Amino acid sequence: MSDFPQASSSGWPIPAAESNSGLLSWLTTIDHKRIGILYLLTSLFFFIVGGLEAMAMRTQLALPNLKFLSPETYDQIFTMHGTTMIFLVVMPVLIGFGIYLVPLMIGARDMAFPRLNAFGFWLLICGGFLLYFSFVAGGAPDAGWFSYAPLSEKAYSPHAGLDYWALGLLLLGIGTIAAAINFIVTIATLRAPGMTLRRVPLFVWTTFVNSILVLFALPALNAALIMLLMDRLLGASFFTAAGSPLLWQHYFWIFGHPEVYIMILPAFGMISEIIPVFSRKPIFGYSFVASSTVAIAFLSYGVWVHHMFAVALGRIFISIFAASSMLIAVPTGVKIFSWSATMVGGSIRFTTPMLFAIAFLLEFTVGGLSGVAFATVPIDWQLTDTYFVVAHFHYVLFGGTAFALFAGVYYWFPKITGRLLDETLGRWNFWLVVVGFNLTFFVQHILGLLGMPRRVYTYPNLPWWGALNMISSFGAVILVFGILVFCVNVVISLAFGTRAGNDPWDAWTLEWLTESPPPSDNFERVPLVRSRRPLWDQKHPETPDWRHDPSEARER
Amino acid sequence: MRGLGPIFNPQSPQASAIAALFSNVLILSAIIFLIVASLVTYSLVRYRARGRTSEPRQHFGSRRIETIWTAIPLLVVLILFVVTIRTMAFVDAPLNPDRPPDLVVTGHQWWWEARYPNGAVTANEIHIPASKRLLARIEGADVIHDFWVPQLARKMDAVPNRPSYIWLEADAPGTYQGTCSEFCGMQHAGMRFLVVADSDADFSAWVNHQAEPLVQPTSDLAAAGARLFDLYKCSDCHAVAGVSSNVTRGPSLAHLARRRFLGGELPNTPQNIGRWITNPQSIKPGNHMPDQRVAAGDLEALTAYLAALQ
Amino acid sequence: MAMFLLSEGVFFFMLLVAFVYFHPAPLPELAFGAGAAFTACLTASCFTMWRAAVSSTRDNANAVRGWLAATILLGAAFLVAQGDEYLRLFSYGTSEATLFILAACHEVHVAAGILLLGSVFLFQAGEFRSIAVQTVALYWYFVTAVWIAIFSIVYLWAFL
Repeated sequence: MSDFPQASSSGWPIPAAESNSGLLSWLTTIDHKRIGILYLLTSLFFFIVGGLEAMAMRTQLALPNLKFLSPETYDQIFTMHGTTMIFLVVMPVLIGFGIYLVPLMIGARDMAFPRLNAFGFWLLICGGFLLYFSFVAGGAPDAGWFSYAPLSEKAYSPHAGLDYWALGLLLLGIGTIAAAINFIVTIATLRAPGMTLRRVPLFVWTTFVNSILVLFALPALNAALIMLLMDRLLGASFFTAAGSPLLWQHYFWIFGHPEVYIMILPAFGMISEIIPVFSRKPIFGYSFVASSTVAIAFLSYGVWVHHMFAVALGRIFISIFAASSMLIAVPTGVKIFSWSATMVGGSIRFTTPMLFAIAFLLEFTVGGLSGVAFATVPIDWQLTDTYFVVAHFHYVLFGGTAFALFAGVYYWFPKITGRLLDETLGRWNFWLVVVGFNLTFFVQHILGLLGMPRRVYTYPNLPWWGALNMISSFGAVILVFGILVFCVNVVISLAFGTRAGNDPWDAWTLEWLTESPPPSDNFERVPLVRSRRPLWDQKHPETPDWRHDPSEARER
Repeated sequence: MRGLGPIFNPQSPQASAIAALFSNVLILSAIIFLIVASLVTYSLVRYRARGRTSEPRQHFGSRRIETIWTAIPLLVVLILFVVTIRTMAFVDAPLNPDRPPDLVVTGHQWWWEARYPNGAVTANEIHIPASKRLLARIEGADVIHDFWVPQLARKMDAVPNRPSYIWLEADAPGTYQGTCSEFCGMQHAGMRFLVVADSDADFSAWVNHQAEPLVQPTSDLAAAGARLFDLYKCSDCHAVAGVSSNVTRGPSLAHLARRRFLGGELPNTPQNIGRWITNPQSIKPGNHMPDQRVAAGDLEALTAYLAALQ
Repeated sequence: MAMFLLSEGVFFFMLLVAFVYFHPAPLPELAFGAGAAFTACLTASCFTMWRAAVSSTRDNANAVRGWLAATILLGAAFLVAQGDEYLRLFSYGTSEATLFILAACHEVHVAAGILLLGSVFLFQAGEFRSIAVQTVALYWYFVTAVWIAIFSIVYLWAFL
């Protein structure tokens, strides 16, 4: 089979390689690998900041009527915790992994628009800076990460924190849209010869679909933010009581619901890469997983009102969204079956990435099921805005996305750095995180059932409330230790980790073809791609996928 | 299930319907989780790598299996949807009812106001007659709040300029805890209230008394307190007459002495009344009541007055 | 560019929805005549933009420059004249926030477009890369299309 030179971006000459070392080279880089690493490091930094905010909250809530944090401070911290984790951690880390991996996985030399790539990263820095600057400029935003009006209006939140929030999010949103455009064009135009869109790795596919979601969801947020700023700074009346507070909710959730899928789809992609490799089998039903991803993307625009079930919107209106919300559970849920079926008949290797991926399956199932409970409107009428919701979204975002990210880090760290993460520390990381996470958040389901509302800086001494909160806070401490072990593992392995070759896991997608870490041009030459697992075909010339994969056979 | 809290300890037909639905959903969820967990555990045990060097059989998927495992969840979801709609119809009050409400509840930062058809106004302790399905109108005065009494009713957002309606009913007389359930600012956590269901006779007595005008204070100390109440401008924010007044900046103090709690949370004792007047910010930091700087001598009279507001 | 425009399209769509939501009745102070004239200006600039794009595929550098200049002039005319119109409305006391937000965002996009056109004009001297002109053309068509939508909904509403 013949090799080809790599595709370069659409016609424009790529600037000459800059000097390779030194801080300035990192600050001025337009190489997708470096930008990807910058995104990952930035999100790790904000993960620690957001985690400290969470620990402050859990300390304040460990006992009833504690006075560790004033309500004023607590409200700022819970707002910043949510805003940070969503906009400064999860979104950037998923984008960062995409920026690093997508060109490698499709056999390209860089993203289609390298300078736009860097631009997006610097917007992340600016947006994060603006958001955190608010702490020293009169107080951070304190109306919650979704800032409902009229509370977010000037009359009820006079200090500038919310202005910083809106401006920061506007900048971050522009950066995200830039990244999405870059992904779409890159994946559409720079694939290796023979790699049709139906043969891309599932991580690439989910990133592609995700980017389309971003393109259509973020503008709704931007429009809402501009209107909020006009209200707050220019005296307009879009969302005041005289205008329409509910319009804010609609606009925000028209963004907000696709947003939560934006935060999980690439994680689904990662799991779809990792489980097959460590089960030694291809993903069960690639087309099915790919098309269910598209189904989720479509449906995600039609469910937003389920965040507003407790508002009197009319029974028929609400019923429609109940139906769509239940419907979207199906393409999301059946993926769990696809991943599980991949393991059946396999030869499972229990590496740390695989452990996290397996835990993901169980945690995400719990989170998904609690989500279905919310789609059941009368249940939502009891449980929305309680700790049951807090439990739900942490199960899907931490037990789901974050666990997938841990798996992804352990899996791709050798490719990025050339060294393997330590397996012993990895296991400590895994068990501490699993125990800590479940202790922290499982009891929150019960707290919600007991009637504890969310976003409260303290609570009365009702039966079991204190005990369960204490367990939750204790679990958080264990979780912190797990994350500490993770950080130690990263630092130690960077210096002393076993050197990884090109392909330490015996995997099948193109990124494992090149060196670890990849040279600045990524590949010398790329093979002609004839199936979804080009490296499997190379390693197993007697049983290549392009002969045995039924979907390939159909195409011939 | 009672031990699992107020939602599973329903005391009204609506809450019972929701609890029943929830029990079924919980069982369904448990079954689904067990299926997934079993499948995963089975695979981990049966298919773990056992030192063999060759790859297992490469299986790419099965349209038939995928169809089945899509169709069954779709069916489950369809059934769940039908049950959901039926429960919604039973629990929910109409969007635009054709009769006036039995009770109007307004959420303020950070207290609940209740007004009755006979003109009675009270705050944070909402009485209703037991065993009657009442139509309650929920309103928001400033920001969005949410009225939630888990043992009795669904929660309902109180949106300014957009009244909404719920059925409020209690199977039997009793006291039911409620809390605000939509983040509304600094004292969202403290915006708790009680719904007290009385027998018919008790409720009539209560609501009639609540609508009665102010009884003149009997003791001299209390009378002095009444004058100080105006002098310190307490009456600018707090109404003491039972009948509808337009003073709603702060909770109505009408017949305060008959309430169990102050501010929804603090036990109603003269000592606590004194504490509140002296330093409201120490009890509910961030609330809108300014420090009145009441002189030490005046505090006794004011407290006596308020404690005597039967 | 197409992807970017899709995204911007959603943004303007959301603003238009807000406008329609808040304004069941037409605004009386709008000067239809002036608005129509400026719309004609912008539409004309769309034509000149198209000619520029076509000329760029035929490597006719002078024609491209000429048509680009015409587009810039017509665009600037729109920018100034429509801006003037908004100031007049503002001084009337029309505090129609939804109108101004639409107007302001659109003007900003027109201004950005003129800057883009200017940079293509100045820095592509000599050898026009057709792709640059065609990309800017896409953007300019978009800006015109958004204006037509805004004009229809805001101004023509009175006639429906």
